[in-house]
Amino acid sequence: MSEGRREPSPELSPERPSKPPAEDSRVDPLLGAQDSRVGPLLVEHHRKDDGRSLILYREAEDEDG
Amino acid sequence: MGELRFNELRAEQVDYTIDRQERTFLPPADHCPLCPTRPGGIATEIPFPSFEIAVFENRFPAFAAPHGAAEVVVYTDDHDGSFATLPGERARALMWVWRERYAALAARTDIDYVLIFENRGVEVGVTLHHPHGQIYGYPFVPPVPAIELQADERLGGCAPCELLRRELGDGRRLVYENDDVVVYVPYAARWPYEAHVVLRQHRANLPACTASELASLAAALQALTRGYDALFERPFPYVMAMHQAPTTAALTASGHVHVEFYPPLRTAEKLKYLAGSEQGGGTFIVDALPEESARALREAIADAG
Repeated sequence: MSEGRREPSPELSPERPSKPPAEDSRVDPLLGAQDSRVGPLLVEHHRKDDGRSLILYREAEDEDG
Repeated sequence: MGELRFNELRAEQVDYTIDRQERTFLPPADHCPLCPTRPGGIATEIPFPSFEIAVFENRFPAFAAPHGAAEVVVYTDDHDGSFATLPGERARALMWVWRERYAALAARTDIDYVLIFENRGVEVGVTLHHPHGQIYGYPFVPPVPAIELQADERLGGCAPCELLRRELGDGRRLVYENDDVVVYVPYAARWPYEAHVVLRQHRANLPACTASELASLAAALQALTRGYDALFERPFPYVMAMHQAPTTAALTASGHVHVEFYPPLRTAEKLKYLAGSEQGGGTFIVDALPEESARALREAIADAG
């Protein structure tokens, strides 16, 4: 994909107000604070050879799961 | 390369991503790019011999940073089966994955709307049979969620809350209920077996849901999809789309988590096509009453156990 290839139409996005930081209430502190654990899941972040992200999720086996 | 163009007549964005023509199309099972990479086998999108749930950036994205996102969510490393046949614990885990991806994409300034969806069946254009869904992060609020937000204004509050209240009061189109979630065929369904899966409580997005609600949502989605498969005793094609609050800063309080299913079948063998009236006039012609479809789906869900 080329840089700057998509400029959203001004008809639909006249302004792009800045978003609140990740601590916003929409984001559970559990999710934002530690990316190795999401609810009952353990999370592994990887980077594929071509640079794309790959995330693996598996169920935790400890008492918190 | 991709380009967004604004269609003035329809007042909507059209996304041109011509390199998607090269994407993998219905490969044989031993060349499935969503299977794990097994010793001696082909290198797939997931370079591990096994996995539970995997999410990766689409190799052929309709949207990509810094103007959106396109992710693939692989439900299992088992090539066969479907969302309906996942073990219950895996379906519940998937709700947490969707929740986490919504939160992560919502935090990006280039994304105004997160759409979690699944296309199932060649009838709706599936190119890979391995159980999976997708997530698009749009750099704008797309028309369908925007129309639903207009319904909030028309009904004087949260439209899914009001429509759920009406459906519970009527009762004829209810398909399935549990403690946290209700499934019904809408009063004015556009597809013969359209169904909506709605949280009882007003929740703007998945991060606002409790663990119990996520589990109930998984149970409801599996009950419905198993019922669909039982209805005509065949894998039931559908488009599934989850609507939540937009993630653009001004609209994060709007919306109510619900999942809409648009199945194209009108009988076991016949498809509902979007033809002249639907495409040219914007008016769906449906040859099944929602009350009758709901009755059939209730029976199918009971049969599916």
